[in-house]
Amino acid sequence: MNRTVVINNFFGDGEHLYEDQLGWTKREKTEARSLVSKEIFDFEVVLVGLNLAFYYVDDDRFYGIHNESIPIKVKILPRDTPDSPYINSQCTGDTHVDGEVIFSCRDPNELWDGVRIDGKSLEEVLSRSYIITLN
Amino acid sequence: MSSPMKLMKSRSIAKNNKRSLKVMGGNGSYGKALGGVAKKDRTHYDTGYRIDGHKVLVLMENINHNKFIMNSNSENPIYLIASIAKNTHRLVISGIGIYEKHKLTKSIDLKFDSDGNLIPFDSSEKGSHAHNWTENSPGVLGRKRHDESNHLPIDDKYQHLIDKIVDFNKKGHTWEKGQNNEQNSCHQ
Repeated sequence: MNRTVVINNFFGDGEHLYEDQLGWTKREKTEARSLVSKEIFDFEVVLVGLNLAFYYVDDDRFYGIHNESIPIKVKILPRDTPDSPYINSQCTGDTHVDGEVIFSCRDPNELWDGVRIDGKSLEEVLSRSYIITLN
Repeated sequence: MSSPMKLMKSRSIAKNNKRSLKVMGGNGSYGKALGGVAKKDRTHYDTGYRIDGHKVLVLMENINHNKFIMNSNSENPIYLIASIAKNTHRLVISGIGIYEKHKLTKSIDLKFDSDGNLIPFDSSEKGSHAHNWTENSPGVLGRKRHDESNHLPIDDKYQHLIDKIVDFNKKGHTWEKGQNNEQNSCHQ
């Protein structure tokens, strides 16, 4: 299988991030019993109530949806170790930490239509993101 | 573990665990007919480490991140959820999952300062805290109600275990896929 590299050495030397690693994983699709992005989001975030953190490759930022308390906050997560040569090691993906809040709401059902990143919907953003935390 | 008998037992266990054991599962993975979680649905590796007999587990898909197990293979266990620190490659336990009848009922998120000391509970979420879990719809476990009342202080009865976890983390244990350290169990 020919795989398309998105970012070289993302995880470590020679450990690249590939296009097929972006978006929801097989595990989440299986848990949600759906291939539809919104339905997977509705299951994992809205129904189960998990926090979500992801790295959006198109703007080189980490984002977190801190969903375990009210208000729910969507944040740009800081890079804890920005000097690491590997992007995956630069952010813990802990949604508890402080970060610039770009959206907040009290009802998780508002997230899907409410969150926009660089003018793009969550569906578009997640399809171009590596999901690092779902807990 | 210094007696010959224990050493023999350790070697035997190590020999039988060339591959990491896969344990526990995600939402809806407990099968009544099986009396457990099917192997294909299991989400975590058993590192082989134990604290007071509780298993130390890491997420199979991404060992650098932690995620609670929804359905336990045992009936009423406590699982210690760890991740591998990206920079030091050390095991860091940062979650305690408490289960009843194969279902996650309470999770404890442990927060540490830069020296590895526990940050106690506070209302700002920067401290260690607990959440209750419930069945949000039939067969689907989730955090109980998204409201302020589900950001909880940690019950004192877990303090002894938490003290041992802090000590475990500070010791800098390492783990790699394919390694099962039963011989290094930490029965403290």
